[in-house]
Amino acid sequence: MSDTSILTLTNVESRIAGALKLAGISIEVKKGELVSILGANGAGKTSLLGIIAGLYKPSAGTVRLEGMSITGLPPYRIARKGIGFAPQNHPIFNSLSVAETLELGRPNTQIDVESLFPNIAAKRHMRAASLSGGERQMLSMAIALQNDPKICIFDEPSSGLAPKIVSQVFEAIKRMVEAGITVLMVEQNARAALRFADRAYVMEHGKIIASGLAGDLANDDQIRRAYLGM
Amino acid sequence: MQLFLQQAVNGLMLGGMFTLMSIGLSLMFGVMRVANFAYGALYMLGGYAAFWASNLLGVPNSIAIVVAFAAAFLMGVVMEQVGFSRFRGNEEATLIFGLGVALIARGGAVLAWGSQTRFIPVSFDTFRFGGMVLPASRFWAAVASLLIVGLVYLVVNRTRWGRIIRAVADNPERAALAGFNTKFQYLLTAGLATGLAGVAAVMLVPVFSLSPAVDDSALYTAMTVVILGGLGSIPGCVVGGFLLGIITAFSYGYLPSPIAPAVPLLLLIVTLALKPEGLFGSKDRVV
Repeated sequence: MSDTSILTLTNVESRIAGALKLAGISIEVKKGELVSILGANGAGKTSLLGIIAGLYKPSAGTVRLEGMSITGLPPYRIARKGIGFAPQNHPIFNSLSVAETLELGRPNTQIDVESLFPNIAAKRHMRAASLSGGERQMLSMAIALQNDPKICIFDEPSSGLAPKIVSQVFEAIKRMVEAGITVLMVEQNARAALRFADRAYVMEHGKIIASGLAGDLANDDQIRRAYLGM
Repeated sequence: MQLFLQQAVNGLMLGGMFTLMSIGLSLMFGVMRVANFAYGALYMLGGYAAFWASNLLGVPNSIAIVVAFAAAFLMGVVMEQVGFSRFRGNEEATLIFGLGVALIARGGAVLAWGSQTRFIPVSFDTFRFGGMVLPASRFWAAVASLLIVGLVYLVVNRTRWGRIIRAVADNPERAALAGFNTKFQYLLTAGLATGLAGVAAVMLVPVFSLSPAVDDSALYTAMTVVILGGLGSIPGCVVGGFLLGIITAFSYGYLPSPIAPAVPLLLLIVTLALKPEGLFGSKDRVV
């Protein structure tokens, strides 16, 4: 990990029909870090990722990638600038085969995706539509890793998956970070997210209410009560 | 037996030509989910480009193909930019826009070239074998049609660009998040699809004929083929084209002439009633 900022959000604000949905969000992700954003349903986590990826425009604030503003750019330009994004519910390209999906972009040079996800490597010639939920998630993450992104963003990577698959997904994310890939992850499974992350932000009602080292947050009584069920 | 074999061969040749006439419409629907009702008009304009090129300028067919492709490609790009991109997801508006363009194109063609039927001179050579007669112009048009359709299939299924447009067709938002400019891909696809209508016209106008009213028959033929085969499916388009070609040939060979034209329409109605997604279409692409 270095001190170089990869992704910086400054006072990002979002209004929908005049109502404030995100207020004063400031987040920083440094090179090589795994940063988690935690929060209950409706806290604004997915909306925030949508703003970073260009799906929504913020009503105020800036999003910078390695110091360059990417605020309000269309999603394809943001992706080309170096943000690999695996959205919630693992959308993939159903009519393509697994091999065709893996060859859509340039292969990642930091990590061998096929050894990272052996489950999908074994199904190269199958239609993506025939994959299980866990395999779809892995393929979606493989798409995000294409073209050597500066940062990978995963929205709820464990959502709807069986416990065994969840541990495989988190193990894969851990290996990515060990290979030097920077990761920002939104996750409802706070316990797992705090175990793997370097730092975390906690969101509630569209605001950041806590942030810090993952270990410190995991030991914070308020966070433990609200998000870890202890 | 002789009539049966002759009509079977006629049906296969007609099938190849119908497939070429329809491939662009199928591609456009498959990638963009757009039922382009101006498709017949673009075919007609491509035909006039071919007519100009061969009759008035005397250029060879290879150049006429490039001219017709370029003219129809440009029309497709303009239609996508001006209309289809704005109406994406609004099927009624898309349909009306296409019909509007078709009406303007037909009116413009009548004003520019008159309403009479034109013919491009063709070779009257024939191939004969086993007692059957194959007009050379139809035979070569059918062969060229299959080569072009095969090339389109290879581009869509075996090239990186083909993978990209299939990804965009599948999930535009996910494709954009993976770095693909969906607007640009839609423009290219619209251009290629309508360009193919122009190429089809160059190949087929010498066989059929050309007038401003040809847009209707081209659109009906193409719509029938893609509905039979399954909207957006290239293999389906090939099967639909040959099915329509063979049924048309046998209908004209064996049935009284007032009834024969109704048979392909009957086939279309039966398909819509029993398998509305077409032979190769998926359930979520019901007409």
